[in-house]
Formats: sequence, C-alpha cells, structure tokens
Amino acid sequence: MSGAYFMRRLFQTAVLMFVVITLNFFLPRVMPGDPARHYYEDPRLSEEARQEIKALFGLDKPLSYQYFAYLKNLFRGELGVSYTYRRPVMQVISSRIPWTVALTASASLISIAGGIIYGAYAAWRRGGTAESALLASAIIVSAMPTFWFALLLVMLFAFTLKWLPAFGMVTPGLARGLNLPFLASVARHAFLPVVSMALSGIIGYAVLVRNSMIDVTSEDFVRTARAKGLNSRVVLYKHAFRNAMLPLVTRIGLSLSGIIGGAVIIETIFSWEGMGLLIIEASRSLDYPLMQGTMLILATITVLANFATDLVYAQLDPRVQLK
Amino acid sequence: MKRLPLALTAVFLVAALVLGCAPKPATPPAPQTPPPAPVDPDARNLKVAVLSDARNLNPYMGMGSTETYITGFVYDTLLGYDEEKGELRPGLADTWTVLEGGKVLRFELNKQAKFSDGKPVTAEDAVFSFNFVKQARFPGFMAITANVIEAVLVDQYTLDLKLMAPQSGSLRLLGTTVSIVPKHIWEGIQSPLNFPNLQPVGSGPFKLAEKVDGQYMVLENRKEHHRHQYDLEKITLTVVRDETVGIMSLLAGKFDLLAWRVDPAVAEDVMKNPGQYPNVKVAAAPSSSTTTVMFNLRNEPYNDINFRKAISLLIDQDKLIKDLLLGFGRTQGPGLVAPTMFYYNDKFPAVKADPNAAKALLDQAGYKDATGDGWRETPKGDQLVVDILTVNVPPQINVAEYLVAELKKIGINAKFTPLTAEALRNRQMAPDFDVSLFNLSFSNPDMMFFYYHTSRGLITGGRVAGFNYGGHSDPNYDVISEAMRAELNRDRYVELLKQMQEHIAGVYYHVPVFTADVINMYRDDRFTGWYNQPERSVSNATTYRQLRPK
Amino acid sequence: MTLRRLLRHPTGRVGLLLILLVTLVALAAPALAPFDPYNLDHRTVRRARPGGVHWLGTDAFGNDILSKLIYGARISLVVGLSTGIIVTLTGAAMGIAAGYLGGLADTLVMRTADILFVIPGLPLMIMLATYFGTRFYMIIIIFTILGWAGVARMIRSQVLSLKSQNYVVAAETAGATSLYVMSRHILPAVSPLLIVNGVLASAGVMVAEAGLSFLGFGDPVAVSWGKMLQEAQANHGLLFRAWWWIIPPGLAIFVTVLGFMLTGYALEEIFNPQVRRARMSQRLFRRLRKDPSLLTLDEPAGGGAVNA
Repeated sequence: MSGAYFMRRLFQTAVLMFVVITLNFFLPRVMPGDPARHYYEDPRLSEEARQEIKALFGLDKPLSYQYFAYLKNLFRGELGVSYTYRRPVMQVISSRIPWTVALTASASLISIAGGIIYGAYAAWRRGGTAESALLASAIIVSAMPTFWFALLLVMLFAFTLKWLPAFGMVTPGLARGLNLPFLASVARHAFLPVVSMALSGIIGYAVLVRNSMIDVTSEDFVRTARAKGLNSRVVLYKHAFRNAMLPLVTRIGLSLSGIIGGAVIIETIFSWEGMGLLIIEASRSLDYPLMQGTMLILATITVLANFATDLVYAQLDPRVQLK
Repeated sequence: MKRLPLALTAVFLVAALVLGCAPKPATPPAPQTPPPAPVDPDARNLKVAVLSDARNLNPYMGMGSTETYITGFVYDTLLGYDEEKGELRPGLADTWTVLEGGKVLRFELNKQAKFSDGKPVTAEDAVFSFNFVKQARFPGFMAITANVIEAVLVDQYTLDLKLMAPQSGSLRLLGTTVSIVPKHIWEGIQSPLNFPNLQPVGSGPFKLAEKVDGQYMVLENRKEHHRHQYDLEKITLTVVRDETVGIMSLLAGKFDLLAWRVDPAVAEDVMKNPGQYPNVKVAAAPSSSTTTVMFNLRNEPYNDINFRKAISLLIDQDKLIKDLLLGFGRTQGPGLVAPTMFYYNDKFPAVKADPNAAKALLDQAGYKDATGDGWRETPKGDQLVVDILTVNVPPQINVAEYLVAELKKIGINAKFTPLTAEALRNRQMAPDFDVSLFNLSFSNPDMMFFYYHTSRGLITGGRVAGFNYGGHSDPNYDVISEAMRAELNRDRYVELLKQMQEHIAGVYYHVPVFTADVINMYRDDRFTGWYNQPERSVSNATTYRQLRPK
Repeated sequence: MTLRRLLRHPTGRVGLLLILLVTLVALAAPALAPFDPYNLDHRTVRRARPGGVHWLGTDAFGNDILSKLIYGARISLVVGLSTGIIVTLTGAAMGIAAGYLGGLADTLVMRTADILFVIPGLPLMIMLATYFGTRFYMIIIIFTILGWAGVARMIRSQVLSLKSQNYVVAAETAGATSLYVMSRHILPAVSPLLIVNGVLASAGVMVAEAGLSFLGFGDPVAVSWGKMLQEAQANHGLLFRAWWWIIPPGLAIFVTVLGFMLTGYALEEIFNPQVRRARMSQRLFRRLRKDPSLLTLDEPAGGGAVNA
C-alpha cells in the first residue's frame, strides 16, 4: 500500500470525524428547547433559580465557549455526565457494549460462517435445490421485517411452546462470572434474538458468497487451474474461494458499526440491555449527554471501520489505490 | 428456474407451520402452590418486578420510580405523611414544633436511629443534609428548599429550620421530601450533582444489599432500625422492562408484585377469568390525577366562559370511563380535588353530559352557523376550528378523538393534534395552544396555587412562568390562594381550600374528563397483609409493613 | 411501452399485480372495509377472535382488524411511494449536480453524503421525531433527509461515465448551457435508474416505516401496519394470545414490499438489456447483491440484510 494513499485516506477520515463531532454538538442545540431543560422544568421554580440551573450546566455561556469546552473534554476522552445515570457517559456506554457485542457478534459469526458454507455450497451445486431455496429465502427475507419475524419466534418458542425465555439476558440471582449456570442462562436468553438476527444474516452473506464465487469461477485463472486437471474441489476452495472473499471483507467491515450499535428493535423486543436499548432509553428520557455520547461512539466506529476496510481492501486489491 | 416456485412453497410451508402453531388457545398455567415450608429461605423475600433500573441512587437526583422506591427505603426523612388521614407522622424525628409564628420549624430526632454503617444519626447530619441540598442546588429540590434560609443545630438531637415566610405546606414539604444523609460520607463529595451514590448508606428501614446494573436489586431489612416495623427480610426488585413479560412471570410465580400501574385491559381479564390467573389479584385504587381539558384563557373564543362551559357539557365521564378505562376510573367534579382528599368540597359533584344544553348555551352566546357551511362561527363571525392538543398515547389520544367527534356533532368544527410529550410541553409553555389535554393532581394543596395563581401564568422570556399555562388570572383567587399557603390553622386552611375549589368549579379552566384508577397486580399465595390504599393501590408503605408470609 | 414489457416479464407481472392489488385496496378502502377504523361509533367487542362479522377479529379497542388492515394500506403506500419519489428526485438532483458540475458542487454534495453515511440513522430519526412529532409527513421528511445521499452517490457515478459520452460532449461543444445538458441529456439517460431506484426505495421505506412505528415513533393518528404491530405489543397481544393482531399486519407488509421489490427487479432488467440474457434466477441473484441499503433501520448484525 502506498504511503500517499494512506495519508490521503487518513486526512479525509480526520476531517470527517471533526465534522461529525461538531454536528453532534450543535444538533441538539439547534432543536427547540435546550438540553438541560428537564432539570429546571419544575414550574414552581422562580426565573432566577432557572437561570442558576442553566449556569450549573454551563448553558449560560455563549455557544462558542460551550463548543470549545466540549472539544476540550472530548480530547481528554470525556463525554460528559449522563443526566439520568449521574455517571460518566463513557462508563454507562462501556457497561452496555459487552452485552451488545455478545449478542451481535455471535449473530454475526453464525451469519458469516453459515453464509459462507451455504453460499459456497449453492455456488458449487449451481442450478440445484440449494440454490433455488437460497434465492427464494433471500427474496422472502428481504421483504419481511426482521422484527416481525422476531415476534413470531417469541410467540412460538416463548409463549406457545415455552421452551425459551421471552426476554432479558440472564435469570436473576445467578452468580455472575465465568461459571456454567450463568453462561448457560445467558445463552438460553440470547437464543431467540440471535436466531432472529442470524436468519437474514446467513441468507445475505450466502447470496454474496454465492455471487462472488460464481464470478470468480468464471475468471481465467480458475479455468486455467481446471484445465491443468486440478480436481474441482481443490479449485473451489483453494483458488476461487480466496478471491471470492474480497467482497465479503467489505461487507464485514461495513457491518462492524452494527456490532457495537446493536440492533435497536431486536434489543427492544427482547429487553436486551445493550446499546440499542440504551439509545431508545436515552431519547425517551431526554438524556442529551447520553444521546450525544452514543451517537458519537457509533459514528466514530463507523468512520474507523470504513477507514480500516478501505485499507484492508487496498492491501488485497492494489488497483483500488489508483482511484 | 423450475425449482424456484417449489422452494418458495417450501419456505412458505415452514412459515405457515410456525404461524400455525402459535395461535393455540390459551391454556391456563398450572396453579403453583409453593410448599408452605417454614424453612423456605425465600419465605420473607418479597419479589417485586420493576420496569426500569435505578440508574442512580442519589436521593436528591433520582427521579425515576425505581430510584425513589429504593431511596425511599434506604433513607429516612424527618417526618412521614399519612395520605389517608392527611396527617404527619414521626420519621427520624419523634416530635416537631412550629415556632415564631411559622418561621421556625423545630425537630427532635429519635436517639436510637443509626445509619447502616453503624454511626448514629444526629442533628448534625440533618442540619448538614438541609444545608447541603440548598447549597448544592439540586434542580429537583430548588423549589422545595426555596423558603428555607438555613438549618441550624440546637443540640445533638434537635435542629431548627429557619424559613423566610410562614407556609402551611412547609412542614410536610420539607419534613417528608428531604432525605437525611450521613454527613461523614457526603461532606467529602466534590461534585454532588454527578454523584450516583451506588452504595448508599442511609438510616432507613432497609439497606441495599446488592445491585446488578440493569438486572436486579436486593433490599435487606435493618432489624436495628429505630422504628423496626417490617416483617419482610428482603425485597428483591427485578428489572423486567416489558409489561407483558412481567405479567407472565407473575403468573408463573416468579414475582409477588408488579410495581407499576397495569393496563385496565389486563385487570379486566384477571377479574373476568380468575381461573386463568390462579392466585393473581388486581387492586384498583382511586387516584387524584385527573385528565382535564385545559383552555388557553388568553385566546378567543376560549376566554368566553360560556364556550368553555358548553364544551364541559359534552364530556360524558361515565361513558369515557367505561370505554377507555374499562371501568377502572372515577368521575371527577369541577372542583378538581379528588373525593379522597380531606379538603374535598362535596358541593361540586361531577357534571352530567348534556349535548342539548351545550347547543342551547352556544346558541344563546352567539355561536351560530351564519355562513351555512354547517359549522358554527364565533359571535364575531370568525371561522372556528377547535384544535385539541394531546400527547400521542392512549388513553389521552382517545379522549381527544372522542371530543372532536362530540364537538362536530353539535356543529363545532374540530380537530386534534397528537404530539410527543416533549413537543406538547413546548406548546403549552410557549404558550402556543387553544385547547390541550392536561393531567393535574391536587393531592398536594399547594398545587392549587401553582396551577391557578396569576403570577404562575405570566409570560417571561417567551414562556409561561409556571404550571398556569392557560393564563388564569383572578385577583380574588390570588388573595385566597396566598392566604391558604400562609395559613397555619388547620380549620381555616381547609376552609380556604374549599373556597378555592368553589372558584375553580366556576371558571371551567380545566374541565375534568376522568380520573384513572391506579391498578396493581400481585399474588396472594405467599404473603398476607396486602392493603389497597387510595392513590397507591397495594404498593404502599402500609402493605410493606403488614406483609407476613402465609 | 414499459408497462407492456413489465406485464410480459415473469416476476414483473407478479410484482405489478401485487402493487395493483394493494393500491386498489387502499383506494377502495371505504368500500371494501366492513368497518371504519376512524369512526369511534364503529367500535365493538374488544379482542374478539376471528370469525363472524369480524373475519380477522378486533383489536384492544374493538376496532375491526380486517378494516384496519385495509385502511393501513393507505399509509404504507403514501409514506412508501412519496418517500421513494422524493428521495429519488432529491438524490438525483444532487447526484447530477455533483457529477456533472464537479468542483465545489461535487465536494459539497459528496462530503454531506459522507457525513450522512456515518451518523447513526435511527438515533437521529428518533431525535428528530421527538422534537418535530411523528405525523406521516414528518416521517417522509425525516426519511428523505437520511436517504437522499445514497441515491446521489449512485447517480453521480453514473453521471461521471455519461459525461464523456459523445452526445454529451457534442452538446457541450455546441454551446449548450449546463442546465440544458443536465436536463435534456443527463436526466433522460439516468431516468431508468431513477425509476428502478424509486420503486425499490419505496419498498425499503415501507419496512423502515413499519419498524419506526413499531418502536412507537409512527403516525399517532393514522392506522398503519407498523402501528398495528406496536399496538399488539403495547396491548399485551402475546399475553392474550391474540395472534390475529400480529400475523395479518406482518403479512400485509410482506406482500406489499414483495410486490415493489419484484417490480423493481423486473424494471431494471427491462431497462438494462444486457442482464436479460442470463437465466432469471441468475438475474435475481445479481439484483439482490446490488441493492443499496437505503435505509437500514435495524441492520441485523453482520450487515447481512439483503436490503432494508
């Protein structure tokens, strides 16, 4: 990878980050009302008391002053204090991330693994039932709202069959840590949300893998390999597969922010205490620092993931750098 | 390609199977009768489901229901308040005296009281707490401590609160809302507003034994409490987040009580089909929080009392209670004070709906359809479309729907605008509304001042100063309400409050729609002593004190 | 012309038929629906099971589910179609301006698009909805703000390749103004792409609208499928085993979105003759991969969603 390309992308990323940070500061402030209002909402308050509270939150200062204070804090890694938790936003968010990642990462891994296997199989057996089934389910999955599918799963497995818990992350009262009952309980609770998310994931990745496998197998070097008399399975896995992974890398890179950001609706349905639920909770309780914090974290991850994906991609496919 | 339809069919079949299994008729879950063994370690552990986590345990910052639930048990206040009798009762303080014509409140503390870390509670802690709250400027307490000059130590167990002016509500307000915290812990806190207090040390009847963020909390009885009166050993609060799941878990015996107001539809189902809900009970208690139609008295034609009165005649409280609350509600008289309150003025019972009288009143006041478009105009001949603002959730949104339909029936063009709670508050404060649905409660008499006094409806800095969003203004009412706030004699106090209700009933500023009941859901197979208290239903202090294992 | 070819196309026919069906239902709602869900006097028994007068039962307020389903087609179509059209037009204008004019216009549009791509959509949507309310026109505006950038990117790259085409260069050398070239040459050339995008975007928006309604940020007045699902949840549909609250609205969303998707795919093939030589299943596979994830409201982990 050329240094110039790296520097160019780095510069673009830095500028984008700065704009996002700035927007994140101004967005809530251009909205009607002001961020700390629910604190002085008590209408028994006198106007003086109201001004005092504003001052307490630094809202009496000019916007430019507030902006620089915000930048300064950000530079020190501080995202402010949550209105409702009375704890640093960073602390609240970091307590949620492991739970979200547990959910989304396992769904992702299942999706990727399942997608690669299914997709490769469908490509290998072109024109077979597996391929037709993939196409049919891909069309169905893309037209069906994921949350509706999740509701159906809850209805069937939690309420009718009563096999699995309908909500939550763990049975209360279990000792936390790396012990079997605790982990088993988490796994039981995570089953339905993971399945709801993985269904469309598997199908999505499978379509991607199948398509790129077929692209690649029609390319010259595979034909050459075949012509040399190599067995088709070796060709498939050794030559075609590696090249077919390129689009997969991009897709996985793009999905990274989703792993942290969680799936808002799925987490809502299953009461999964992750980032998605935190976003909803913050907006319902008008906890602006928390809202801004989650937005900023998610945006930052997206920006960095895009940056990293570009770099990896450039490494794999040197033609990109010329663009 | 030929296989595509086949595969589609296969996928549909699987889907149909999934769907087909689900709509099974409900089978009543097997009644769970836990062994009445005295050895059960959980026999005195009350299991409560809550909808949200306690996000912080700072007794001066936590505003959510779970937060106040916990801090209410962990901390003591100087006094308690018996809502049914309308009387103060001892808390940390054994006795209290009003001195210097109401400008000084003296409290004498119980000498046995101790914090959960073993240190005794002294007047120094109480003095510290009041001055700390005042100085730290906790936003939720600024109005409460506004009348306090300072707290002063008299002796080791006695303190004085010095007030700026005598106020009838001060004793209750200050005595029951300010938690007393240990000075030796709180005096070292640098930034009180950002103190989450996750390991609270208080002098209350319970202490927080365990808290797992977002999951559960365990409260443990402090047998050494100076007024030890609880038989429960533990209260376990589990965060469930979803009401349906909470109800299902209660049904399965995982909880004894749901600490939220349950949906009337569920309560109705429990009452109609008790067989499907073995051991599950619901308790409905009258509340004082009334849904009303509020008018902006600054705007035409809402400044016309006849117009407001006509609208009030359209509201069929009984029908709305039956349709929207499924019967779990009470009618409310125009005086707006709930009949359960000790200062309720019984001269103002609920008004019966009478659309014909409303029509006659409108005709008489000059609201006629002169243009022949089918809608009435104002007496000045201006077009009239009544826009009712409401929060976008049931049952309020259904009330607005109903009102629009009723207004149209008597020839008044109307529409309603559903808004998020935040947007609605913006419009009310602006004040940018003509008619809005509004919930108010006069369970605290002081609120009759804050909702109706002229000063609370003035517009300063582009917003209404207080809760008097519609700008009600009446010099006579102002005088009475000010006198009420300063009145220390109980009889005269009640008399003034009754006079104020008379005024309120006559102005049709807030027209009552109904008062929804507070409904709790609980199991009665493990504990006895459930007490249904007005305003609270069974989740109340009396219940917690009375609960005994079966 | 296009319509006739669409009718001859195997999946296009199915898609068009589904759209037509839903549109007819929406237009004829007052005639078709046995009850009027907006009329309070039409409320009957609450939570009635399917059967009798109420083929699909009633909801928690005693409204007929079938009638709500029929009326719900209106809001889905209005929100889906108008957002699809507005998003596409806005995106097209931006994309053409960026691609053709280049320079400052390009930088402005593309950098704004970059920002919109990294700002998490759902939190922003919720924030905007909290302030500005959630009437359906607000939802259309919010979706447009968040969605145009994707279209603009796609159109821009198309325009860049058109710019060097002979007839465009010829028009420029003949002294045509930028506005003239953009509206007479570029726009017609990209319009097939726009039509396809508009149709597919409508499908994406319908799913997204349902999701937003389900979270409680839907139009509070209108009857919509997403809101029916939200109400099912809020009114303890699972507790009461009221499957008829959950299954019909989801199926309705599915059928409508499917109609739009199939039509979109077919249109693309009609406009783009090269693809047509492949077998149909091949073409569909290609198409699935290309879908721009226009409004990924709730991107499941792994980004595996074939589209919104």
